[in-house]
Amino acid sequence: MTEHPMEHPVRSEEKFVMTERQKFWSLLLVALGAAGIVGSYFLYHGHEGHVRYWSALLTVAVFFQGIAMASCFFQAATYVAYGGWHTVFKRVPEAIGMFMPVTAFLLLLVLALPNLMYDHHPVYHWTDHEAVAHDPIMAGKTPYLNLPFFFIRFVFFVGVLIFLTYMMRKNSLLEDQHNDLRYYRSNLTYASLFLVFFALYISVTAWDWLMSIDTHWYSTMYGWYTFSSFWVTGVAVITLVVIFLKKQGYLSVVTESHLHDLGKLMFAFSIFWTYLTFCQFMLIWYANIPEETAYFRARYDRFMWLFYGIFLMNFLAPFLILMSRDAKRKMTVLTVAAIIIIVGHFADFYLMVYPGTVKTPQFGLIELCALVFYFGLFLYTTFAQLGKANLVPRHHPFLQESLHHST
Amino acid sequence: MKHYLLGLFDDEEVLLKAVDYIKSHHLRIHDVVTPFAVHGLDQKLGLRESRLHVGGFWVGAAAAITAVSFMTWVFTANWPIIFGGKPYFSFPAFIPITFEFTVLNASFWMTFAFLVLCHLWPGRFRESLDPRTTSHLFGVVFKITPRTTEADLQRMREVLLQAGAVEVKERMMEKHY
Repeated sequence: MTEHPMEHPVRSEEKFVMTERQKFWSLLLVALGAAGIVGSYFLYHGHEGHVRYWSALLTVAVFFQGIAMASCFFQAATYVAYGGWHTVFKRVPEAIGMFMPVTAFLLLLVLALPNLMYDHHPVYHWTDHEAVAHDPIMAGKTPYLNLPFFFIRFVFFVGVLIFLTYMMRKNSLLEDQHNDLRYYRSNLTYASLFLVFFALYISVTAWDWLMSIDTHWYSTMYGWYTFSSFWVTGVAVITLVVIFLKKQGYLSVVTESHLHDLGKLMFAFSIFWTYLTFCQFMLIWYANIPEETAYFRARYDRFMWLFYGIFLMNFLAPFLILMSRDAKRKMTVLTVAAIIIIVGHFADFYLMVYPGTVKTPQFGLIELCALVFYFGLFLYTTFAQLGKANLVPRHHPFLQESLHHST
Repeated sequence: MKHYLLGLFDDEEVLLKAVDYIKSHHLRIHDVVTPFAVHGLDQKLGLRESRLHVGGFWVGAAAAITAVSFMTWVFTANWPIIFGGKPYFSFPAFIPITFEFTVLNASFWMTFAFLVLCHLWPGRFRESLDPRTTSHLFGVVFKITPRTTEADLQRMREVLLQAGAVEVKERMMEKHY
């Protein structure tokens, strides 16, 4: 704390304006990606081609849905914990959270459309009635893994989460207009409800979207393992957007102290992810039961470089880069660490999907187009949402605490 | 026998301003004793950053290497036994023990190093300069050496009082306080 934060008064009218160039480039990415996705549909023929096509879309859709959900979780968790440190940049997780309706709709398309287009979903073996009838293990799972219940779960829980996110955002914007504490109190209620539904649903997302790909296999660590991946990616994305805004000359009230705390979250949850991932692996490795090791056999045999690579990118790199205090306070170091974490966790989701569906490591046009499409959409939605309100919330009760935050 | 001059303050905001004021009069502050950590005081006093965490990192790294190499030696060379069909060198099985040994060593040695840095080892009792600096007062400490003249002492007292000290007193100590 070398200088007093009150020496920079809040510019109460600081507003993010999306430049024409940003608008053009993000929409161009969306257009290119969408054209690529539609066009490459005709490139991937036959059953194998369809498996590849929908695996790519599912991986990217789940990854971005996770980022959006993690941002909403960030808001809800900080509300319930009476957190004040993040207030100066709380518009960023809010804006990313408003991406959730879009990602949820697209994910629903990826989950539902193939069921109508083919006789079963190419990614999910359990949607194939022929196969289920001849497979006692899959037949035993039908009370849970059946299409009507699958979509009821999705629509109900995602709908509730989107509704609660939308209400938190609405109250937060109203709070800017009227200096009234009741918006904050009402958000506390919405945030608490959000956490309850999120806690119930987050494991279900992992089982439904990812674990059911390997229908015969199950792991009790899987839900938390996927959540930790979502969460650490979400924090890395929030950090990158905050740094981007600072580089653009916005958010001058965000100091090294706020970045330090974001860095701490990235560091700590990278270790948390490693802990869960390793626990899941070690118990299966130790017990050495064929039904369980089949999952890792598929990953170890054909994806070995990626299998070790994710430990390098998601554990060793953030652990060593973000360990010291100075590193967490430098924007360049944080940017490098956040990019490694995001790439590493995308690889993690790739490794959850591809060995069970495509069987061999493949990265080509469809994966690239899906990523470009979602990246463009993410930039456009986030920037558009950031432009809708003051970048620094005006009447948030913890604003002063946040301005004086020092670590 | 060590000789100190102690200026006592009753507010940390006054204390922070007083440090600047005293430094502007070119007096060398020996130490500041406070009942709790005061934000921003380290920077004002120009204290160098603690190297305790750097030591912690290297102790941890050494412990990790020790644990892995010891287990490797035991299970491959000294007493090789096959457990559940696993190879002698079963690295995943070593990781939990390596982790525990690393954390245990890093935390224990950092605690011991911290106690030694604070002059607290078994049998050592530290007398405070003024017991009130452990509850509600903040003390700025000047060291008085044989070369300190009566005029210097008088000036120190004046500057302390001008800076807002509620009390100024001299203190003789047997050992490091």
